[in-house]
Amino acid sequence: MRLESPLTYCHVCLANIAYAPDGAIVSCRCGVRAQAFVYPAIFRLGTSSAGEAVQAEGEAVCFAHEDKRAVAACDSCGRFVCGLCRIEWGSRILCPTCINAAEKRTDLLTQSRPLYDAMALAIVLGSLVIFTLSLVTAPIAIYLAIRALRAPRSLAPRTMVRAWIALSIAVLELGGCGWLLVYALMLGAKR
Amino acid sequence: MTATARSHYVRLPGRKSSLLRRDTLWLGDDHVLFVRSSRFSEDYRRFYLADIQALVLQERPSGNRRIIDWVAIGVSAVAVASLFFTQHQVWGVLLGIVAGLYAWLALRREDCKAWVQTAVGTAELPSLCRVKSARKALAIIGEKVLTAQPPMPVEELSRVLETPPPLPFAPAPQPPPLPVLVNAARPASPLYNAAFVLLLGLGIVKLSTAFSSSAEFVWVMPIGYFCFLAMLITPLVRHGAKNIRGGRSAAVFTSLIVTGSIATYSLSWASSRWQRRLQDANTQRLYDMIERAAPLQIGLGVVLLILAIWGLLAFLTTSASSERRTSGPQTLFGPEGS
Repeated sequence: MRLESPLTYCHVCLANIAYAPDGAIVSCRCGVRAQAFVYPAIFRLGTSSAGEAVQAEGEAVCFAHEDKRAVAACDSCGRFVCGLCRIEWGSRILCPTCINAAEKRTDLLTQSRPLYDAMALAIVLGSLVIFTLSLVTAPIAIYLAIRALRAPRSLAPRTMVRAWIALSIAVLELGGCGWLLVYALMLGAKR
Repeated sequence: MTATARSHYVRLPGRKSSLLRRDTLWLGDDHVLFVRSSRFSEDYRRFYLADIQALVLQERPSGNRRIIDWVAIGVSAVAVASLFFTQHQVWGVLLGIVAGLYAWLALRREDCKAWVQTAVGTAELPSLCRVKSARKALAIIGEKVLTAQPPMPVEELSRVLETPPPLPFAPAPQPPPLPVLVNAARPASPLYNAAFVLLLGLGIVKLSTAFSSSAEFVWVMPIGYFCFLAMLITPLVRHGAKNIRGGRSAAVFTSLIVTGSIATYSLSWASSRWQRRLQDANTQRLYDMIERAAPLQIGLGVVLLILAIWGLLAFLTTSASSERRTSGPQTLFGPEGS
């Protein structure tokens, strides 16, 4: 119900800071000016529960905790859940297993995402420095660029310009390599 | 937490970027998304508007830093211009590059830190590292948070205020114990002292060879140098450079650089002399003449002695004072009880 560490300390001199309740600026002894904006959620009491123990034999118990009384059933899989395992997901009640399963299907639980377009662009730009590597790097860059175009994109808005540029350069590189190969073969045939 | 469709994120002011990292903040329908990009992947962290309890901003005092920056940039610009007019274009370009780098670093300097507190915990918002953009971003977030969190009914608020949990701004009854710094009291490895004693011996030997050129020391010196380097590098690798700071660190790293250079040349000299000895008597005489160049030998000996004395003074005086200081457990603010 109060500001937690390290917010209560000055980040320069580590002295304790007493913030003004109205959001006004306060100064630390080292000159740091600090300001805290507090919202109603800070007064809200926690609603989570550790789960009640089983009182009588025959009572429904939690699927994950045999000693805890079930308080609800998962709307997705039907397993009984205790107060600890009960997760409110919008209007539904889910168990941790279903939440884990949903993690792969929704953006709302995505924790990280690879940027294939940036990888493809880095590879083709690197191969421009050492052109002889293009024969190896161009197919890799094409694969990564296509994957970038097909895979789920970054959560933050991001254009696919990198992927298209990488794809174009890689195709040109492959074309150049092919042309050099044909030219060399024709030169060899003439001789 | 509510399940919603894919949000349309709006970029919030503020960005912190380096060569391999970029931190940004985005505003979604019901949450703030912190994105940390390592150029080839992105990590996400969500702060739901309904859960945000507090936003904190701490601004560093700028003092005269801004004025100094602008004066330095202005003086550099005038100097670059005058160098170009006086036909010293090369120096002008070099100074311009340095001044440009300084200006770039000055403009990118962090001048504040921001945090968010939720029911889960607190987190720093690294993208809000400049006051102007941080204020804008916090204002936008604050407005959304107030919309997402309905005001508390008066009776509930009064009930909360009467219950035992302290008010948000009440001073903490007991300040948290200061973290104990385990490494602060760790003394420097005795190998450093031994290494500088060895360097002192090497310096004396070098000075003595300047006056009495003897071939016995041709291989002794490079071996001695490399022993000294090994004695310095071993504790550095084992304990890191954290417990040698200030003068000690300067002495160690200067000695490493200078003695490392001398050791390389000494080894190359000894090996080439050994190879030539078998080939030609005249070349051998030439090498002997060079080795008898007293000013060079004296100079090297003096350099080694200065380094040795500097290192010994740094380590002996600092360890004595740290022993006096570290009679009790060390805390962030020094020894406990002082």
